[in-house]
Amino acid sequence: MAVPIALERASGPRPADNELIRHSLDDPDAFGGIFDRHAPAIHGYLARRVGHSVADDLNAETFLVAFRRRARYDLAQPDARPWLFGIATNLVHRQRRTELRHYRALARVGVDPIDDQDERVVARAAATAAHRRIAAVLARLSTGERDVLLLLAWQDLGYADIAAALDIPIGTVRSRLNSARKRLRHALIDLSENGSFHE
Amino acid sequence: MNELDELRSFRAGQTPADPIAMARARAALAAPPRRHRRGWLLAPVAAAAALALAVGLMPGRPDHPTAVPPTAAPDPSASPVTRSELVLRNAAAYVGGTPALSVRPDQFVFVESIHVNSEGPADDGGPLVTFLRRSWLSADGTRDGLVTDRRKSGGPEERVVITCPPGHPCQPVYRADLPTDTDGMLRWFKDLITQRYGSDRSTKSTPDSYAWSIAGDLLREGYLPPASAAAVFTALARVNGLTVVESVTDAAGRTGVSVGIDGKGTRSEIIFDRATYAYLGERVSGPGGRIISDTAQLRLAIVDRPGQPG
Repeated sequence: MAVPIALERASGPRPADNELIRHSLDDPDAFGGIFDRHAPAIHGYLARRVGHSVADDLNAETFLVAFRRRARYDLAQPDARPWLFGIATNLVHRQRRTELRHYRALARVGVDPIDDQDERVVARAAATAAHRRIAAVLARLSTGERDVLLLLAWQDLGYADIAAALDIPIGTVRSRLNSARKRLRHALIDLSENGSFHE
Repeated sequence: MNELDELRSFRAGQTPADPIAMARARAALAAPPRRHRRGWLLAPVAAAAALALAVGLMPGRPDHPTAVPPTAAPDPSASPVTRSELVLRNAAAYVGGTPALSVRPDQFVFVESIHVNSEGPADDGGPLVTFLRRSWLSADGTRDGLVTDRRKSGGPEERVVITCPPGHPCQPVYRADLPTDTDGMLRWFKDLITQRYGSDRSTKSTPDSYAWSIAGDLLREGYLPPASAAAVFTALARVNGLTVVESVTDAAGRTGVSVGIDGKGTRSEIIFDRATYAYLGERVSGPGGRIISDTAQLRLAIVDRPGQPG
């Protein structure tokens, strides 16, 4: 799959996502360029929601699904992130119980189960009070609210991109975000007033 | 620090993804389940249905078969286009005479095949690996499908769930809505080329490799009614620049005759049974005849759920 790499090196400005995807209809190997560009962020997002080992699988699946559907990509969109995060988010839904179990465990005992395999787990063993409360809120949000909130906070996707990713109206993005932020703020309010989020 | 900032710091600083897992995920895009997509070849469809029938129609052999010695490196000048037309017409006649399978929208098209692919992410002549591949894809594209691969040399079976969630259906693999005549199929190809690649491509007089690409995607792991499958073959017979190799061996060791098209340093071929013109498999080769991928269709069946043996 040397094609996309060579292509990026050879030409000055790197091709937009839609150009790569269009190229990949003719030369499937070009899709490797989409992987190279976005897989680290997609994996990071997935790892944050469901842990590293599950993220490995879901990341691979995200790109397989994307590859398979590339002929239906809207070539008017130069940025493939909303499309890819939409696919990844749908895959996360299948792991919803795992995701929620981890949030609840973190809220309850202050140790994040998704860090189990990480050597740095010792350093991060004691979650801050704020993070425990965040985990509790995340566990209670609706799936739609959680998706919107995390895509905004973790991935810096704009409202329009989130709407595209989740295939929902932009007004729904706003209302879900308002509701989710309100609950988050409420859960953190006393910590904030103490001037510190830490116990 | 507002609540969003606090959320941003939640689980921040994740360990980067395991490079081996990433490399594996990237390679999977081009590996067995996907690699054969680079071959602009007619796939399975007819094939399996054909193979499932012990005895089918036996279209007549061409009246004047071109005498071309078996060769790994095709020589375009040695095989006149008329010969490729004959092979494709005979293939159309064969598949057109097979009984139509009955397919409900909620069912799955099951395909079993042998795949030979060069190992590794690049097509640079790595060692060849043989897989037994099984795929179950949703007839109407609305249900999750399954693809499994098992190396002939042993090791664990790889399973990939093909998700087709509501609002994001997959491509249907059973297409009862396609034309059943050559001209109609050519128009359908042309419309799709415009849609996928832009009008600049479709207005070119010979968008040949695009038509082959579409045919491959359409038929590879799907099922068309016999009349439409036949129309695909007769439409492809009008593609320019086709060449024939009279004696080839497919991935399952069967001998056949191939029709192929050259492009971008690779040659893509469909392999048919030499006697019946039933579809046998497909292969893609690079410079010097080096095999990039080689597949042999073994079975096709319509089943009720993914994982159900055909």
